[in-house]
Amino acid sequence: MNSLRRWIDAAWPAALLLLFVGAFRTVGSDTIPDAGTSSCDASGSLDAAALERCLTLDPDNAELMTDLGDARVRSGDAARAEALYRRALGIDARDGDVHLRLGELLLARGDAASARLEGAAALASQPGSLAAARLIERAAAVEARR
Amino acid sequence: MRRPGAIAIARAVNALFFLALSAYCFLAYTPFAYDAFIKPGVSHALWLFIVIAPALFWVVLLVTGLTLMPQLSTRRARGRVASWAYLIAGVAAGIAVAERPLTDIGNTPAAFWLGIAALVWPVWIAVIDHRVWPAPNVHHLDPARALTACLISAGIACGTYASVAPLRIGQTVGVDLPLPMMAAAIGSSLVMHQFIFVAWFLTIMTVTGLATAMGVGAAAEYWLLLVPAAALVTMVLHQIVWASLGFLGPAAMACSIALAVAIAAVWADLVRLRSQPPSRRREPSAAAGAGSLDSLAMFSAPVTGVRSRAAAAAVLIVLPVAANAFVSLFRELDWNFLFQKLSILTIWSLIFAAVYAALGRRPRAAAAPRRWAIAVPIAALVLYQLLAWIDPRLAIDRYAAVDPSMRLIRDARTAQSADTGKLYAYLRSQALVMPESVRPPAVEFVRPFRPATGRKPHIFLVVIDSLRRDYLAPYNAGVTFAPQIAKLAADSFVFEHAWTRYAGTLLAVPSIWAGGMVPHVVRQPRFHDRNALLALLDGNDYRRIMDMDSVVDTFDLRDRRLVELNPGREIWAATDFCATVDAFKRQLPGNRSQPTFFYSLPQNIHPTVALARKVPAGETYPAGFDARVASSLHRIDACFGTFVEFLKQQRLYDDSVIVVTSDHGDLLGEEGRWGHSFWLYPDVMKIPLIVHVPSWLKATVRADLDARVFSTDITPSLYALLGYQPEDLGPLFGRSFFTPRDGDSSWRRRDVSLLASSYGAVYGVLTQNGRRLYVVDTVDATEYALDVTTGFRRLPLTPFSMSVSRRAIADQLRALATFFRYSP
Repeated sequence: MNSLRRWIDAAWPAALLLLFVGAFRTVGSDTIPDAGTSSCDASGSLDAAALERCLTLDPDNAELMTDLGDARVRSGDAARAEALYRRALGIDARDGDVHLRLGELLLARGDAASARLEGAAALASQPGSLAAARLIERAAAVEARR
Repeated sequence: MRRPGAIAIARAVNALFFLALSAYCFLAYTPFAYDAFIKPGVSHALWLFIVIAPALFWVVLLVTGLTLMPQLSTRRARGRVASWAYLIAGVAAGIAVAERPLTDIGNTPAAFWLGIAALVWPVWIAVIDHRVWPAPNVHHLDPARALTACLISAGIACGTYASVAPLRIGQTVGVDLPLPMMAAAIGSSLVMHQFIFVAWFLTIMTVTGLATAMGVGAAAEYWLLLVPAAALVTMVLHQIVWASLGFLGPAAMACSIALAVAIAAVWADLVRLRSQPPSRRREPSAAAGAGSLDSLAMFSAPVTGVRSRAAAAAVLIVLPVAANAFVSLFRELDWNFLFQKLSILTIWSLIFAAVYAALGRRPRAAAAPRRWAIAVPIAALVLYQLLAWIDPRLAIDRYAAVDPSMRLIRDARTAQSADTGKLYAYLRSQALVMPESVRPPAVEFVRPFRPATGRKPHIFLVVIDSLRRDYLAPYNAGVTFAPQIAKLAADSFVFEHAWTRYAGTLLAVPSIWAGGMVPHVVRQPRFHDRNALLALLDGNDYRRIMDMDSVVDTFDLRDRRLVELNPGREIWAATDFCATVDAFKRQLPGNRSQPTFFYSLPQNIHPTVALARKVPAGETYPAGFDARVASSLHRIDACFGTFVEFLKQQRLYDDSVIVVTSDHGDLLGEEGRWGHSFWLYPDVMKIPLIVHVPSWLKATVRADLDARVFSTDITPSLYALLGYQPEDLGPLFGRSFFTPRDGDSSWRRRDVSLLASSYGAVYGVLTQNGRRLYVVDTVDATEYALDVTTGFRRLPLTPFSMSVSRRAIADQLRALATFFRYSP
C-alpha cells in the first residue's frame, strides 16, 4: 500500500510537467487556402475578370495593374487603362514599361506633350531603349506639326 | 595538492580545453562549418586555438598531473593505477598530436573520432576523482526551497535582461517600442520565465518522486538529477547548436550525446570536489564531514560551493552584469544568436543554482505543504494560457529584439501544424545536400561555343564581401564617405533593384560564376563543367589576374592563364582590397594584346574584419551608419579611386567592363541582428550593382535600371557584351541585363524568383519586381513577408500569400533538384 502511495505521489509532478510541455508550444495560423487563388501567379495569361479578382486579393500589385491596363486597352477602355497605369506608377514610379504604355496611350489620344514626358521617363529608367527614343521622336513630331 | 577548491579549478581548465578541442573537431567534421568558417580562417580566435592546441595540451596535462601527485606518489593510494594510466596515455597523445598538427585534420571522419576521443579525458579524470574523493552525506531535497528558488530565479532571469532593454532600444535599428507596449512585453516576459522555471521545478519534483517511489536514497536522487540535465544539454546541442550549423542526422545526435555525457561527467566531478567538507586536516580517503547536504544543493555546488550563502549572494550580484556584458560583447559577431542563446541557458542555470544556495537550509517546520507545490504550478500554467489567449505578439516580437532571454523563449515556443511540418521537412531535405548525391549536368549559355569575333573588353569584377547597397552614394544620398565608387557610378549603369540569390558567400560566389542557382551543396561538385564565366574567359583567352580566396580556389582555376595576386595568405580575412590594388599595379603585364580579367573578393567590409576595426582618430560619419563599416569602406574607396586612376593611366578604362557589386549585404543591428547568417532580409539580399561599359559598347545596348536583376545575371551579361546571345536556361538561371536596343525585359518584373540561405533550409520568393519578399525559415521555424519598398515593413501573413509563396518555393526547389539531378 505504501509503495502504491509513493508511486501516486511521484505521478503528480510528472502529470503537471506533461501539461506544461503540451501547453508550451503554439502552432501558428498556417491555414492552407483554396487552390483557386494560385492562378494569380501567372498574371500575363489571365483575362480581365481574373485580373480584377487577383487585384482585389493583392491590391498593391503594380504588375497586375499594368496587365489589367493592357487588357483595358485591348477592350478599348482607354480611360480605365490610363487610371490603372497611373496607379501602377504610383507604386513604382520608375517602371519604364508602364511609362511607355502610358505614353503610347496618351499619344494615341493626341496628348503629345505628355507622351513625350512619359517617353523621357522611360528612357531614364531604360537607357538605350529604342522604343522610348521612338516614342519621344513621334511625340515631338506630332508637337512640331501643331 | 589536497585542496579540492584548487583542484576544481584545474579540472575546469582541463574540461574547457578538451570540450573546446572536441567542439572544434566536430565543427571540422561538419562540411558547412568547415568550409564556411574553418577552412577560410574566418574566425582568427578559432584558427589560433587550433594552432596552439598541442602546446595547450601539454600545459593542461602538466596541471592535471600536478593535481594527481598524491595518487601518483603514494603507493597504496586510491586511484593510483588510473592516474598513472591517465598520465601515460596523455604523454602518448601529446606526442601523437605534436607529430600531426590539428590544423591538418580537415573535414574527415578522423575529425569525428578525434572529437569523441577528446571527450574521454575529462570523463576519465572525473572517474578518478570519484574514486579518490569521498561522497558527501546527502539527504532528500526540500520541495519548498526548490519552488521558492524557481520563482525567485524566474524574476531575476527576467529582470537581468529587462533592466537593460531600454538601453538596448537605443542601440537597435528599426525597433519602435512605446512605454505601454514595453510594459506589456516585460509582463509577458515575466509570465513566460515563471512558466519555464516552474517547469524546471516540476522536472526536479518528478525526479525526486521517482527516487522516492523506487525507494532509493538521496544520493541516487542526486544522480537522477543529472539525467534530465544531460538530456537538456543533448537537446540544446542538437536543436540549437548543430541545427544552426546545418549539422543534422545520426552523427549530429552522436556528437550531442557524447558532449552531453562529458559535460555531465565534468559537472559531477566539480560537484564532488566542491562539496568536500571544510576540514583543515582533510584527507581524500577520509569520510566526508558530518554536515549533510540536500541533493539539489549538492547538484548546485559547482556554482557556489556548499558552505557560504554570501558567495551565492555575490554570484547573484555579478551574474546580471556578466550576462549583459556577454551579450554586448558577442552580439555583433554572433551566428543566428547562437552564443546569446547558449549564454542565456547558462545564466538561467547559474541563477537557479545561486538562488537555491542563497536561500539556505530551511527549518523543517517552514516547509510548505504539498498543496502549494501543486497550486503554484497550476497558477503559472493558467497565467501562461491567459497570455497565449491574449497573444500580445507585436509587443513580444518587438521586445524580443532587445531582450535575448525573451527571444529564446519566443523562438522555442513556435511549433508547426502537420502540413507545415511536412513542408519544412521537404525544405530541409533540399539544403546542404551531400555532394555525392548530386550529378550536375554541364551548363552552357552558348552552344556551340566559339571565340567571340568582335573587340574584347577587359573585365574587372570586384565583389566586395558584405557590402550593403545603402552604404554607397548611388543608392543613398546620405553617403559621403565613398566618393570614388560614386564617381565610377556616375559613368555607369546603376541597377536599382539588384539582388543576390544567396545570403552567404559560400553559394553566392559560385552562383555569380555559374550564372545561375547552384545545388545547395557546400563544395560544388563538377563545378568546372558549370563554370560559365570561366568558359567565357578561357574560350576567349583572357588572362586572369585574381585574388585566390578559399571559394574560387575550389574552382580549378590554377593554370597558365592565372596570375595570382598576393599568394600565400593563410586566412581569408586578409584579403585587403588596397593590397590587391598594389599587387595588381605591380603584376599587370605590359602585353595588352591579350584581354585581362580581374577578380577580387575583398574582406574589408566583412563583419569579422570591419567590426573589429578601430575608426581612426578624426574620422566621423553621419548618423545612421556604422562608423566601423563606413570607415572600412572609406579606406577601400580611396584604393578603388587609385585603381580606376591606374586603369585610366594605362589606357584600359575606356576599354573595360568594370563591375562593382557584393556577394550579399549584412544586417548591422536591425532588430538586434548582426551579420547575415540565415536571414533573407532585404539588407542582406539587396546588393549594389554598378556596371561600367566602354562607350563603344554602351551605344549598342539597352538596360532596364529599375527592373529586378540578380548577381547571377552578371555572367550572361558579360556573354552579351562580348557579342554572344546567351540562351535562356529558365527561371533558376541568369539572363543578360543588357538587351539589344529594341529588346524587352518586362518579364523581369513578373518573375517569381527563388532566394536561399547558403547555410541552411531558409528559402524565399521575390515577387512584384522585388517589392515583395516572402521567407520560410525552417531553422528558426518562422515565416515572414516583407514590403521591401519601405525598407523593413512586415506584412501580415495571409492564407493567400502563404499558399502562393510556399508553393512557389517548393516548385522551384523541385525544378532545381530535377535540373541538377539530385534526390536527397
